[in-house]
Amino acid sequence: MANREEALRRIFDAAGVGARLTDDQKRELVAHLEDSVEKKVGAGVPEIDAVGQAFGELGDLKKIARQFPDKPAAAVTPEGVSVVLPDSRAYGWMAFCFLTFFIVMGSYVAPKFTEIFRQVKVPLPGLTVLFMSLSNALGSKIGLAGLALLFGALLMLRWRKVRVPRPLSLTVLVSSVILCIGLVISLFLPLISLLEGVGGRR
Amino acid sequence: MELRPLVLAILELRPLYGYEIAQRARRRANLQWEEGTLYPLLHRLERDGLLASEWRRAPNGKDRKYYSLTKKGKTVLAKDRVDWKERVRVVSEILLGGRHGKPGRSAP
Repeated sequence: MANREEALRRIFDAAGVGARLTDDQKRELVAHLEDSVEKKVGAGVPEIDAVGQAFGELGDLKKIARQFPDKPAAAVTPEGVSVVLPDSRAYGWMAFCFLTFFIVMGSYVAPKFTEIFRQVKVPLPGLTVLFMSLSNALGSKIGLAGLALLFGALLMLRWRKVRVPRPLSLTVLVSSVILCIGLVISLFLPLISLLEGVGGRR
Repeated sequence: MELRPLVLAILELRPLYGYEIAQRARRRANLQWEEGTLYPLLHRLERDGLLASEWRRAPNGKDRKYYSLTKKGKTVLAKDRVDWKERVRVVSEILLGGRHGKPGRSAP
């Protein structure tokens, strides 16, 4: 009965453990409740009592949610080799590393390059100009950026069991990687034209 | 009570989904437990490569996640059985003073 499944899902969500579980884990637990209720109703127990009993037999949902392994297997071969994909938390920490790299590079290293480029009067490509202005902005708010990073790290440590949606964490990771690669390329482009200029003079 | 060997033994004959495993554990071992704790165990066993799982249509027409033993799982179950026999033998020696059928010779 679709209504029963939906009702059980809503009760389950109301228990406040939905964020701690993956969709797969939640679906499995709701399926268990559904089977349990169906069996009890089949044995003559009123539906409302059957639901209560099923939740009671399932146990403390918060405790169960805490017991699930952090990194569920994405797939297991018949031989027993399990494939474990990095979870959203791992993506979060990777993004943290890339953002730290970007902030350090942008606020301490890039200004030095800016100074060199200004002295030798090398023409700056658009990408370099963009990242130079970004690093200038970053340099003036380095304390704020550092605090934001620290806050993010503390959040990830504090709420270990809260599952961030994978698309969101992947987006943050890809954005931070693009920022880092963009910064490095923007610093190298004028250097290349500088070296070409030096080679041309010879 | 250690649940891993029990779950592996239940899954030895054919793939089953969570509710079926819980029911069989209740019937065969007279196990009184919070059934929900089975699922973290199943996920850990799967992560460790002892079980494989797939969602498929159950006889009641609903999709259920079936678990089956992998080769590694079968090996671990065989080892668990040997360990269990050894444990029973040791405890029997202490409690019964020898083989199961010879009570009365308690250990000093």
